[in-house]
Amino acid sequence: MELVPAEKQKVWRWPAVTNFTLGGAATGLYLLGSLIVSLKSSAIDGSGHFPFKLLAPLLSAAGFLVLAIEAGRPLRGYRLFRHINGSWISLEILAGAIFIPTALLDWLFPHPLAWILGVVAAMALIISQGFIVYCARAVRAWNVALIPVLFVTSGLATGGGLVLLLVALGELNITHVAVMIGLVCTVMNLGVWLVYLRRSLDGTFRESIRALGRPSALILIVGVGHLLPVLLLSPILLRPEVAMASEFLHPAVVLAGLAMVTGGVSQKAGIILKASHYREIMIEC
Amino acid sequence: MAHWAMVIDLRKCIGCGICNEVCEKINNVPPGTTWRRLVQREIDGGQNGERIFLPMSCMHCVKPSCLEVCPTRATYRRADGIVDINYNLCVGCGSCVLACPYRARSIPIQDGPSETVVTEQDITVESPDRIGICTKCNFCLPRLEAGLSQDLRPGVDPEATPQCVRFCIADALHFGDLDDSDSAVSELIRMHTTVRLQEELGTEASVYYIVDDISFLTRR
Repeated sequence: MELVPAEKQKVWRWPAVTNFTLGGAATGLYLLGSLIVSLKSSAIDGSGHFPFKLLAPLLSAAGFLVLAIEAGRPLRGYRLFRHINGSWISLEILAGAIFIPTALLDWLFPHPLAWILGVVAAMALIISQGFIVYCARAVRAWNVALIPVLFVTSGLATGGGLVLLLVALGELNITHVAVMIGLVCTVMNLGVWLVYLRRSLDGTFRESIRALGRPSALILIVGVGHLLPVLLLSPILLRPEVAMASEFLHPAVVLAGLAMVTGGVSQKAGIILKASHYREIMIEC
Repeated sequence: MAHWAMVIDLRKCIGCGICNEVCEKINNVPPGTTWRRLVQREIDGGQNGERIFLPMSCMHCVKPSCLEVCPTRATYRRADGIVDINYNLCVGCGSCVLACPYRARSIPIQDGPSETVVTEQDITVESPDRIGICTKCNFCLPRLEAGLSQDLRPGVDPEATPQCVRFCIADALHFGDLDDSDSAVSELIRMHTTVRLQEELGTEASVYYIVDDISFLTRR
């Protein structure tokens, strides 16, 4: 017998969405940027021309600052480190506290050790964000095992969009590597997203994700955020010789990057604000 | 060591709401929030005018979800089973509110769209130190501790008993030590069919509901 029906949470709102979006995008950008640089792609003429090590920590810091608006007592933030071995929020704050200065330091004074530390912290940050949401056991559509995976793929896809924007707007040589990475991240995130939407756990879960299956959400998240980038980027890989010579190359990559970022923002907003119904409270008689 | 628990007899609860009123007054619950709620549901679509009243508060779980997620360790579980909040440590991140499957926690805020809105006057006059941080039922912990220091027995002596239990006019709420097989709560659990809410989540709540006749009503 249902006693208390499912209703949307009102505790985490746009500041939380912003933090999850910027945190995911920042770490995705840093990880993918590091991958591209480590592959010695000809698109990148030294990390100084590809400022992912500057942009990623700035985005991440902005996310934390916005989040502070939502916390009731932000000046007590230093106490967030007290439960490192148990709370994913503590781990996220620790990862952020390492990632932001380390990445900035590596941008100013490049050093392999700082880079490695930055990569490890970025991985911890992107993983911890997914588990923060997963551990909200009262919220049915968050407390599913796929959520941490989804937050990683979403962060990488959004970060992939930023990589494309940086490469295109920075007028760097656009190579297969950057486009391929963007495409792989988008397809991967789309796959996980569709699996999440197709899950049919129980009534509350279906009620929670109903808004994500509406035409407007599908157009924005699936259409604009994923299918559009796939359509724009695939020809570059399939017909590179034609694409590289085309005047539409840069606009197409910029548009794909913007679409991927839009998709990432919409995805996080959809999960946090729409698919956020509390579990109903039942009594078994 | 005791394991403090509550047993609520759903056959007796008449939905008067005195437990909520007393709780708010005695514990100086921040305005706009509540430590207790009284859920009311009609049975069988209300055709027979029959209703069920379910008083709810923090369940003081043995395995509390709120405790795991708290980044500052503001939420802690005492050896006697009471889950409490150290208000000086809480940052008001809201993670515990979203982790609690009983919706027993809330954060009073200054403004915003939620139902926990308070006015400037409330903040100044009532309890400004608890605005922006999490709050919830603590089984009237200060009263319980004061009673124990005077060798009183919580659940038996009114001065040492949670005030919702003390003032329940229907004798529906009972409090006591679950580890004491002679306590009233242990006996009630032994003698009746009881359930705990959201048991499938494995939180092991310390609040039990007597449902003997309720099952009869819902089958009808």
